[in-house]
Amino acid sequence: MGSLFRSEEVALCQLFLQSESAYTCVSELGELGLVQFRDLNPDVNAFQRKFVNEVRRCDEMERKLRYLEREIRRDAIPMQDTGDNPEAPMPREMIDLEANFEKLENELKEVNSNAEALKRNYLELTELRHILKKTQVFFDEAMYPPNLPPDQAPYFDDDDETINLLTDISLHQLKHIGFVAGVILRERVASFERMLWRACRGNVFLRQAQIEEPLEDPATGEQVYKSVFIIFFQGEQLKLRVKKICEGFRATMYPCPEAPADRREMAMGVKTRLDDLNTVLSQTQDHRHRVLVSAARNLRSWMLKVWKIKAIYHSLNMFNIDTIQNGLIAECWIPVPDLETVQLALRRGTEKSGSLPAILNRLSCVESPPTFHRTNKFTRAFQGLIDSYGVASYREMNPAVYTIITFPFLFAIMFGDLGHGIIMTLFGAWMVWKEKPLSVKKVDSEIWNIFFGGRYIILLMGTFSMYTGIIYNDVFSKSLNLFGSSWHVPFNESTIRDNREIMLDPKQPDQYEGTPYPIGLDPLWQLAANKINFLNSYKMKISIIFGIVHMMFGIILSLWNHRFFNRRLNVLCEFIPQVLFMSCLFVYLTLLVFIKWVNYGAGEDVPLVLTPGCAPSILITFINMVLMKGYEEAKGPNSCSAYMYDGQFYLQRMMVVVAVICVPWMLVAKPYFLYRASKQRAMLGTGGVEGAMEETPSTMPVQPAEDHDMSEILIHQGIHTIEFVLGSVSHTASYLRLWALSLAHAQLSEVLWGMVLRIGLSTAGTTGGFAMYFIFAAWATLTVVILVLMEGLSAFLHTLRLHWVEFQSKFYEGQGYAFVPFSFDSILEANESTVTEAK
Amino acid sequence: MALCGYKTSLCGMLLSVWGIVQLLFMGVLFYIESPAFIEDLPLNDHYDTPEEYVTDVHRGFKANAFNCLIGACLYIVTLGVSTWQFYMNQKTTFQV
Repeated sequence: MGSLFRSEEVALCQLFLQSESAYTCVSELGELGLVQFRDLNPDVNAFQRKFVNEVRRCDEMERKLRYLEREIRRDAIPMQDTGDNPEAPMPREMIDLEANFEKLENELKEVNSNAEALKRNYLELTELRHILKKTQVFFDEAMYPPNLPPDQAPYFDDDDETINLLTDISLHQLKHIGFVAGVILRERVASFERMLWRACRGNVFLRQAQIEEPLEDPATGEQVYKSVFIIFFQGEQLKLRVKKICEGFRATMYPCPEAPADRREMAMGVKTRLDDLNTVLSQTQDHRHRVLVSAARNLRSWMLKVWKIKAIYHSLNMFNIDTIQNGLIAECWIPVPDLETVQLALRRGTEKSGSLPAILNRLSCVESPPTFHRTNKFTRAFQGLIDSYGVASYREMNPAVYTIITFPFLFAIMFGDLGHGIIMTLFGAWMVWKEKPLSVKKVDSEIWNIFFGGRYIILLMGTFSMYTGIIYNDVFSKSLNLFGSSWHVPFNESTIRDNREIMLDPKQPDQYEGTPYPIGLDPLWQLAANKINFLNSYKMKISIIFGIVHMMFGIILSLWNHRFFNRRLNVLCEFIPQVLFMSCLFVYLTLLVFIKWVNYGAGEDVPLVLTPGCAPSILITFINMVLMKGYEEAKGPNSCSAYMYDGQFYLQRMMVVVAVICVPWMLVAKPYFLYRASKQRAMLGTGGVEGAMEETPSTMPVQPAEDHDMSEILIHQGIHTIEFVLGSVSHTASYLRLWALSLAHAQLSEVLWGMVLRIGLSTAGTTGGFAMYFIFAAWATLTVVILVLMEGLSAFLHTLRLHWVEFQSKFYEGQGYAFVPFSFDSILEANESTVTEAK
Repeated sequence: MALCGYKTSLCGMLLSVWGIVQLLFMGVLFYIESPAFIEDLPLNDHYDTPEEYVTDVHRGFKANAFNCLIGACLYIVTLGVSTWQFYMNQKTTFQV
């Protein structure tokens, strides 16, 4: 029967699959998610496995799909997630998919390279157009210089002399001047000019003009600024030099005709060509867009299919090949209650492929199976808390069930504030209410995912904190008076005026009604100067009580473990002395607390011995008990007694004796019995498992022969005993953190109110309202950040520690390994998260 | 016309709701002179006569009550502005 009480029974099974049906059967099992395959070829290299070709083909398909996804993302086309879960396609469909992807990839690559070539062409033509436009200006200046006297600066900087130079030269001589026109990046112009000047010894003449609009670089796609330049020189040598320098600076040179008429013709030709290119380019982009849009529709389901195929082949690689019957043999772990479901799935798979049915055999195994807890969305978070410490050993008691309640409860003891509890509950409730839409959204933030994964824990912690807030009567450090306080102040004005502090006496009926406040702490304590004194005693005592209850519960759980695994020796030699030890000392301590609470009081008719002044200190009583102090006589007939009930002295003596006896019992009894059993076995002459062990049920793992090294057993038992005995004291004291954190929380809350909100409340006059407005915002922010988040995290951590160390050390082994079934859901989720991480 | 972003307006909305609820509650409690707030009153350090003290206590309670209620009203305004901003931001995201 599956439940959270202990992990489920898991059986090792052998699966015989026919070759034809293997693929479909594994696909069905993957959809089911209940089977964990064992790797039967662990020492085989990944490249030597049987289905390595198929895995390679899947990888190739995945690569193509990722390429498509990148392109789609670059064009900002939305990829819808229809949420449907396509089944893994049959092997023959895989070929179709492959062909489809290949076609798409080739088409896209072609379109991209075409687009790039077109863009390059476009760039060249654009640059040429700019050149033709700008050089027009240069040549105009050369031919028709502005009519300026030489000393007046024209609007171009350093070209006085050059303009004059050109004007002096006749047209005839102009023919000897060669020129080169081109385009260069703007950043390089200065160094280009300098290089030219130096290399050509100042015999060349450069004119440059910036191109205003940026041009798109075809390779990278980013916009760059360029400048047009034209270099005039005379002679072949200079021409060669200039050309080399241009190439060095990656300036693109264009043939620019000299005559203006030719240039005009060229400009028109360039313009028409540019227009044509524009249309072609836009059509190419449209085509690419259409291809990508049609691919985007199916991309996600293709990706899922490819992942599923790959997962199936990975699993198939783990199987053994049975060449005799042309089949595959698989070994897997299956939870016993699910055997029927798995059989059905196998039948479905074989029906789909139309071959002989698969055979499922149960095997007996020596090693312990994996631990499987069947959880739902609520219990999964708590199981996760326990598994973080250590996965339960096979079929061990599962602490997670109890954690569902004890965890929020111990948290709430430390966090107890109604106001903060309301905030936490609202947050948890919102996350639970909006569970479905929030879980579909894939958020990258790790912190959010942690909070969302623990939404049920947060909801429960908040609810329990509201309860303890009511008990502690603490709302943002103020108390609620719902039922009327039981304390009253009957003093007259002069008494109040003359005394700085007055202690209300519970014996007087006009000061204390005699019946306490119905639920929780009386609201008057909030204003009392000795609030901390009272609360300390109260909170410490309840911390110890809850701690000892928690630990005794842990010890009792170990009894169930011993009974299940038939460890009678452990029951006798570990469980009983542990219970006796804890009871005689610590449960007795809590009993004393209760006796003191019940018997002693401050009423009107209380005898002297039972007045609060005569109440013996429990700590001193306990210390005297353990140190075996002598009997304390009462000092007179009407004085206080050190004992709370008759016979306490002798009872305590006996309890100490019993507790002391338990220690060697824990230490020596089990090794002695084991030693005797091993001697018996040696005498009988038979090794093996029978003897001290009773008959084990078939599902239990067959225990290997015990290690009969006595020294090791003694050491192990010694460590165990010391851990328990010393731990009992230290763990009990450790539970006092419940008191400490709740005190800290209450004090922080008070300080925040007193230091922040009181400022707003103390400002007099009309500005008070505005002060309240701003100061409330500050107080609210600090409350959420410090008191809810920081204190909440702190209390969460301490509660977790109490569970992991103090509670679980009493019974938990935690040496198991988790059951990780072959499930498409988990594989797809893992792949998705790697994809989002990579982005 | 979005003055602040999506997250700011959401925080504003939540803070305003909390502010309205708590300040209204506190305002009412101050008005009925709940003794839990006795330490939060604006009082002097020393009084000569008890009558002065009592008068100041009553005045302090009323003053704080009104301060809290004014704060609550200001938070109603903030709630309105935040909600408007929140819906402004939602519209722009849908348009994109």
